[in-house]
Amino acid sequence: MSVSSANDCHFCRDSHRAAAAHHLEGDYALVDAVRRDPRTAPISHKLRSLLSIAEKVRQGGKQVTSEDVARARADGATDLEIHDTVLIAAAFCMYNRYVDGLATWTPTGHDAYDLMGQRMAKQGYVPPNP
Amino acid sequence: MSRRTPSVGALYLPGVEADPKPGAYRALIDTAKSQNDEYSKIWDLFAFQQDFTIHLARFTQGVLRQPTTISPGLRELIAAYTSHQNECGFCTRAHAAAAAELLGDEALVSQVLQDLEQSPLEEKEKLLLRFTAKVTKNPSFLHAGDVTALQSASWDDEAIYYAITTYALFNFYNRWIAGTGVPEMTGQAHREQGRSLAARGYLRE
Repeated sequence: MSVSSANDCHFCRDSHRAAAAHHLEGDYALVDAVRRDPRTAPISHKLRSLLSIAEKVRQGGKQVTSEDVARARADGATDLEIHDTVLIAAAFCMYNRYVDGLATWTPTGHDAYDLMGQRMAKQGYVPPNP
Repeated sequence: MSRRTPSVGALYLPGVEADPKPGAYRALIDTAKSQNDEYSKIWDLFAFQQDFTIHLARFTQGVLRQPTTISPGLRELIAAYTSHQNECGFCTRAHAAAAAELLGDEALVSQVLQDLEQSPLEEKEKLLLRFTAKVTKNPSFLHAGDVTALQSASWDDEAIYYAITTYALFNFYNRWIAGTGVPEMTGQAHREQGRSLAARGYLRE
């Protein structure tokens, strides 16, 4: 959600905002606090370090330095968590451009996204077999 | 791969490099290491999460090689140009080499990367590269007029779909590669990889 928000891709921002909230027992307030400013949101140091790496990945992969990685590790992140952070932030730099590049029609309104987020949180991303 | 010193530089994430899962990429890495050959460290990323990177390889093969109205050579050129905008040295060199092989014109590829406007690329193709550069920099600045301009230059919707999917995919790869610290290889190793990508594509299954 943070990457999509900074890339100004409303569809990705709002759908993953809802998915994150559904993974966090419906805590939209926490998700929105992170969206406004991860530096002041009530999250762990580890998550704050990972979000800072995600933002650097968004600006450009080259922004990430071995010092950023060392800081995240000092805050308790494993190499798997750091790798997944880079992977997810990079993937959304693709999805954001895919959605905006193809000028995809996207819904408006909280309810549509809330339902989408609930489905993403519960079922994941592979469509169920018909 | 060339018989030279092994790839200089390690990933930022030794925990990823040290944990390749069994499969095609691990076999490639083991072979390269046993022969003391330089190898593409993107293989470490693919081997780490082999279960799902296999789908990424298939997606990449489809996006760059599926027969359509825009040639694989031009799609590789879009990949190289996007990577150049994002300053990803590894991806720029890898896909410039593949584009040079497929287009049969190494000089044209370097000219495009140095200065698109002054290069002898056809105007219709320049239009497509300008479009990909614009949305690489500012994805939300795209408007319908950008796409109609391509349609007026007689690019069909399928070609535009593949062009968009290619630059979007490389906005992912550039960040995954640079963000994990995959180092550039020697010129010789990149040329050999370019030949391999041109001849056999992206599937390693």
